[in-house]
Amino acid sequence: MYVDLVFFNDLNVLQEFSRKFNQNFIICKTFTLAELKKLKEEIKTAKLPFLICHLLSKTDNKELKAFSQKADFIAVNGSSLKAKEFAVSNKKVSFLLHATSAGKPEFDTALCTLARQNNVFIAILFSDFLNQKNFNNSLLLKNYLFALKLCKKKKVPVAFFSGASKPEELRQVKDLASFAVMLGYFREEALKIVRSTEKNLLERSKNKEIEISEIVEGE
Amino acid sequence: MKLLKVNNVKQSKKSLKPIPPTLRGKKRYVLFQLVAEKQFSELEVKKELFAKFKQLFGDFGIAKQKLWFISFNSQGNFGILRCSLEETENVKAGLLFLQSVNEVQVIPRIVSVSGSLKKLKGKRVN
Repeated sequence: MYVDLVFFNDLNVLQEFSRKFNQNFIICKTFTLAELKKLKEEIKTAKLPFLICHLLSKTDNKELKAFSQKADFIAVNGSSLKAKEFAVSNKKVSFLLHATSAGKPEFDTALCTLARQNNVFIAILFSDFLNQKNFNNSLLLKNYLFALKLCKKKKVPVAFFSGASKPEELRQVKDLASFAVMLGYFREEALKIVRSTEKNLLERSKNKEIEISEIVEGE
Repeated sequence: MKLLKVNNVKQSKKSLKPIPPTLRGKKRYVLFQLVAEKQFSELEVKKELFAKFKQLFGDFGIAKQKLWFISFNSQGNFGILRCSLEETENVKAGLLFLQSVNEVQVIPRIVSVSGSLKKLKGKRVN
């Protein structure tokens, strides 16, 4: 099954689109511990297969430690070079969002190498491209073409999501394979990425649990 | 118009020689749906679609894609585009960039791609 990352938590709308588009959702937001617990309970009550991702508000190890065991995934907003370095050098971080922007393409092979070592996914959000105006769209496309060229070369795990912050920005994840082809992947590679994202993410979180349990036993 | 001499009388050629399939170029038909609260007319969708593709790919890009709007069904908001085989993925990606038609928000969705219209029309009815 396909999986999409979204930035809103209207469970009714997500359930409707999950049926329509035949895909699961990862709800990503900067939660407080109370909000996270409440949302988990709501998802459990409604028996929905949705997952939760906490978006770190700052590059802080305390917050990372607090939420890494509570949320299914952790995401970091790569708005600055420091944030990107923090994200890729930390095994507990699952996604690096906004790896590049319409401005300077602050993305290099060192970041790629670290991302690969720590199995941090570079998340490509389609909504970034929808919300750009005029010439910025071309600049953003140019920067992502370059970033993905590096990711392909260094075999960095990549994931394509709609990144919708409202229902109108939702897209069927399997259609995003065509977008991946537009950004430079071969068709078979793009389809493989889109189809195996959920499996790879779940494997990653399973390995994380094993590591945490080994650390606890070791203590 | 090529002039032919038949019995020393010049006559105009009535039709062009058909282009062989190998030179014609392979094509694909893309069936898409616009998920929205309102039903749209063919003209509205065609205008918005071509404007978006021109913004994204430019005149040269559309020319390479050999893009053509076949039809649009207001019931269910299903539409069919024709494009060249080599540019199918770019056309499918371009469809995803469509955000609104006549200021009404839409969510575009690719239903199917086929080499013939007959199969797609069957899918649309289903």
